[in-house]
Amino acid sequence: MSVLEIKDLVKRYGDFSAVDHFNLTIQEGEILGLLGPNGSGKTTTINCLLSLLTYEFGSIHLFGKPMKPDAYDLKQHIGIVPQNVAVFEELNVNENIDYFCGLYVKDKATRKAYVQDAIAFVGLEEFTTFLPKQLSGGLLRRLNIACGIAHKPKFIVFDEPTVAVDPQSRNRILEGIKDLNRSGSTILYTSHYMEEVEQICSRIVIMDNGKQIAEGTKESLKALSQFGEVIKVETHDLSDEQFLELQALPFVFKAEWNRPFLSVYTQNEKQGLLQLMQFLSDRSIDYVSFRNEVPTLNDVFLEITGKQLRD
Amino acid sequence: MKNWLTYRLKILLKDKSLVFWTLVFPILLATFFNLALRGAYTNATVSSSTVGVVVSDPTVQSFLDMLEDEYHLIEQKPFSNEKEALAALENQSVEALITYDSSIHLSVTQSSSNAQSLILRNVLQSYNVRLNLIQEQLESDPTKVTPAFIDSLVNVKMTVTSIADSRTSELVVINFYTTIAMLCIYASFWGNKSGRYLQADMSSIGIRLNVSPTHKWKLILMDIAAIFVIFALELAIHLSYMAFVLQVPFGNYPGLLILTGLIGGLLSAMMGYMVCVMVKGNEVKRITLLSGVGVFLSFLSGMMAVQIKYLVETYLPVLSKINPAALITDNFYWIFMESHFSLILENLLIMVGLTIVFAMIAYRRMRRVTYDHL
Repeated sequence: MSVLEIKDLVKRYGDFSAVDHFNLTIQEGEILGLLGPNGSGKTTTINCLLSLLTYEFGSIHLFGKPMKPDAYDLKQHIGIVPQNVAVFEELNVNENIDYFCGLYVKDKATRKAYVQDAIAFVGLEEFTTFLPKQLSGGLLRRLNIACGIAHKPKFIVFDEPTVAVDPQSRNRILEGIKDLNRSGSTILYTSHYMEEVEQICSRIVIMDNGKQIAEGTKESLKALSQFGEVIKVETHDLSDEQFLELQALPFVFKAEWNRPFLSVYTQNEKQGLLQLMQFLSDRSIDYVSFRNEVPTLNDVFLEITGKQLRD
Repeated sequence: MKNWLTYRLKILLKDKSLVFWTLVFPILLATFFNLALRGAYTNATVSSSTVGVVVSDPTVQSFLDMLEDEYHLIEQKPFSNEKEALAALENQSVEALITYDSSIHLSVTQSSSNAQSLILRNVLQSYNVRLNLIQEQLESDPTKVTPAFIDSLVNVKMTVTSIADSRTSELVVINFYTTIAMLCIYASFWGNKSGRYLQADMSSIGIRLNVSPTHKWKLILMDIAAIFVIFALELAIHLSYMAFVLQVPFGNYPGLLILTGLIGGLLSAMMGYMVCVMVKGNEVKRITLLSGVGVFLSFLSGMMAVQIKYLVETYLPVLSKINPAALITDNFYWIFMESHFSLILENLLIMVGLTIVFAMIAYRRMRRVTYDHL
């Protein structure tokens, strides 16, 4: 069953189309990643689906029903972790979570248990009496998450939840999201960090200029790339003539030479590394180090759009 | 709901600058008035005014003669008809005009000294009240209308001398009452602060609240309840300070004064809430607008210059009836003067009506709201 269906969504600001005939479907139990650079329309799409923004065209259905500002029965099952931290500066950690949970859960005993669960979930047990200004950036983001998921919603929207967060907190957040999914929540996760999306999402939609430009699992998206692997070599001995010769080799899709770093994008061949090593050895070109990588989503995005995912 | 109210109170009360402007500043102002105005009106204010008189009743005429001969409050200039007297008032050859039909009426020129006209008005109002009492007693039980009874009522000596006493001087007290009115009007800032959280285009918290399944009217009601509690507390502190520390008299109807204050504060808070919902832009813009509106309404109500009040009442009477500052200050004045009780009630009803109107406008605007951009 699909939890969310967005069809042909159009949102314009004057002549500019922030969302341009965008379609999105999320099945129950999925973690769907919405990946795109800044300004691609991710947050606008989310605000439309939450009935916060007006839109010119299209339909949005949640749990099979049209989403509207007064669809309180649907809102009961939604959790939102907005891009900007949305907590009261005047309330401490426990009070903030209790306040927002109270919008969904009226029974005091149930709410108390949910709040304790949320605090444990994000690992803020030692900080329950702290005010937001006393928390680090990572802990603040965890509080932001706790406020959005305390009421145990069925559908959770995470809008770039790890911006400016330290790696330890980021990992904690990502693992927590997987736990939420395992306990039954369907998740829409937006980011311009491909590593996060690759780590947790079962399906990914890549967005740019308000449009969907690719969609699939991370494997199927990477298969869209025209090259098989990237081999990165550190060498001081490669001359410009030898680099030109390398570029003309049949197994090379493209090469980049930024002394002393050589990047060779091979065709879809498993023998790319061996052939490159042979080339270097035949010309007595010494190298300091090498490694090979499979294409990333950023590479896929770059190939399709000519732009980087991250500025 | 109870924990929401607690949290709302905590959120609002932690704004120290707002607490300063809405509570501490009016107290400081009242303290300043106490230092500056005590003794300002002793001995000097009771002086004679040239008054045009169009009165044919001998009882009233003898009362006016007493004011002239014994208390030197007026210098009479009789006219045979009202038209001549009004002309004299307009060309300022007299400072005031007294006429009589069933009660005494006083008209004053704009150039009349505030102190003089207010003292005279107070004396004449007091006389009218006592005259009405005598007439009522005559109708119900004439046997009780003895010379002693009449004498006790028409003796104006205490009235005139008590006016000159700065402790009960009406002008001094009215200045103190303006600080209560200011407290009421500043409640609009609480409304503005509270309303901001519900707007998704003003606050990230607004996004959470708009996506929640809680109805807007419940959220607004919680806000109003929290603001009311805070304002009631501030009013209690302010009035207690004035009553027990500054020894400001509140007359014989303190309950009515408190009721006016409470309703006036709620009215201003809803006005602030409505402004927050209707006016987009940054916080500075809204606070500037609210401050400007508050000052302007206060100016129109005569808080800075009482002549403005009379001009508005003469040429724009409807504005007087919907100006929150005028409604509040008029009620305070009448409560202290113990007069115009029907108008006091009318003003209270208007204030309640305006509060409901502002609340409905705010709710209508926020109900099922979607934004063009966030």
